[in-house]
Amino acid sequence: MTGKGEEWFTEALRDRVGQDEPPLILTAAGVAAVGRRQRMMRAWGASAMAVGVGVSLMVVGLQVIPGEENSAAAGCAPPVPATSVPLPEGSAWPFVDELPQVGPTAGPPDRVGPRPDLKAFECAVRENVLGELPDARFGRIYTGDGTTPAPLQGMAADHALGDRQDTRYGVMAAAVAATRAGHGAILVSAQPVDGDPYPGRCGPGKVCDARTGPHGEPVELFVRQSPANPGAIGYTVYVYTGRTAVVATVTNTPDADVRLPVTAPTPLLTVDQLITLACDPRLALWP
Amino acid sequence: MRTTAVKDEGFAEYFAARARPLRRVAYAMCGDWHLAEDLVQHTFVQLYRHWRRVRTETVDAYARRTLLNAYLSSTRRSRWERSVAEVPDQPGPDDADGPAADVLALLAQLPPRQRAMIVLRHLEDLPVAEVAELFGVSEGSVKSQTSRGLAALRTRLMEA
Repeated sequence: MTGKGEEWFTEALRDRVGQDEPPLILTAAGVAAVGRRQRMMRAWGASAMAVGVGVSLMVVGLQVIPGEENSAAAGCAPPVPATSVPLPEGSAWPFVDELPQVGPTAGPPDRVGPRPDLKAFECAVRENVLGELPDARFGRIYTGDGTTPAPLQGMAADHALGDRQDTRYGVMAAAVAATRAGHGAILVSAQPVDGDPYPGRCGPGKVCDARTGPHGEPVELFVRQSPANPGAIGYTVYVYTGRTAVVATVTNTPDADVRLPVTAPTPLLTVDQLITLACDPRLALWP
Repeated sequence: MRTTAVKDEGFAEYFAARARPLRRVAYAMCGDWHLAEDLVQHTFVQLYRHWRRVRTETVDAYARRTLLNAYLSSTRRSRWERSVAEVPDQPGPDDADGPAADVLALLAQLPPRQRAMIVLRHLEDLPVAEVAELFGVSEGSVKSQTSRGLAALRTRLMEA
């Protein structure tokens, strides 16, 4: 089909695309379910509008009619454009090194089961973060294994966190962000654990604060400040739901280790916003 | 219920046959597997919604057109990109480890429409006439654009 003298390109392109093709996460059933949901929402939107006309402006104001523009990742916030925020040399991902253990992993794969749905995890993270930071620009963050996933992209956390956190079987999503206030980093991970392995380790006079999530989850809050980097602040929360530990970190420096220069007065999210994010039931991948 | 089951069965068969090839096309266009998967998800969701009305002989064209539109939309500045902060631009493509690895990085330097034309011609092996119809341009325009694009790629590859 292609012209003479162009075979070199066809061959090179096919080779390149086939080099690192990851497994397909989408399924026909999943896509069909999203399609049905969209159709129902569209029908609902049309009915609501019909009812709303002449009845109440408020009803019309509340309805949601999804359109083509926002359906690119149906059931999920749109993909986050990869405006890269390069980090200085040597700043790649040495984070959480001073944080205590999340807890032992739940065990070997036969106990943990197959890796859960990355897409659902990613959608929940994206929706929360983009909802709280609608005007932010997001960049890739370099992981410990040398990869640069798209901002807030769900990925296996097996090696991404190096040896600092035992996240075998876990998943994560991270990004650097730039807001009007300055730069910051955000990282959310989930991993299987045997419940809350350290009940009571946080509280008055201890290194972390004990909180309770909106659904009654035990929450551990660590606030980190760096003597070597005045003004740098990191909030990290550990949330235990069922057999899942969610760890969420936000900082006011463009790395999760609060080592880079401070450009924002506070982390990207408040403590309450971070707890709300980390307690999203969709992140509890191991019930 | 019966109709839905039949519809879903046909859709699942088509998905099984075409999801991966379309994702490769999307990846070749955008250079990002993650975005490629989102574009393919969008394509199949739209396809599912209109599955009953799409004829067998036009389903491939419908899927390609939806994917192409989604890709071109994704290249336009979104609300997330309307900058409010001074963030440095994305660094250039990583060092390639051979001509094959160079191809996507070089392709990314072409304008999105030209890139998409080349991908559809060379990865999907679409005839010029079908590419022209997809883009709503003449066959001559497809020929000249793909030819110019490939010439530019060849030159850049030589310079690299």
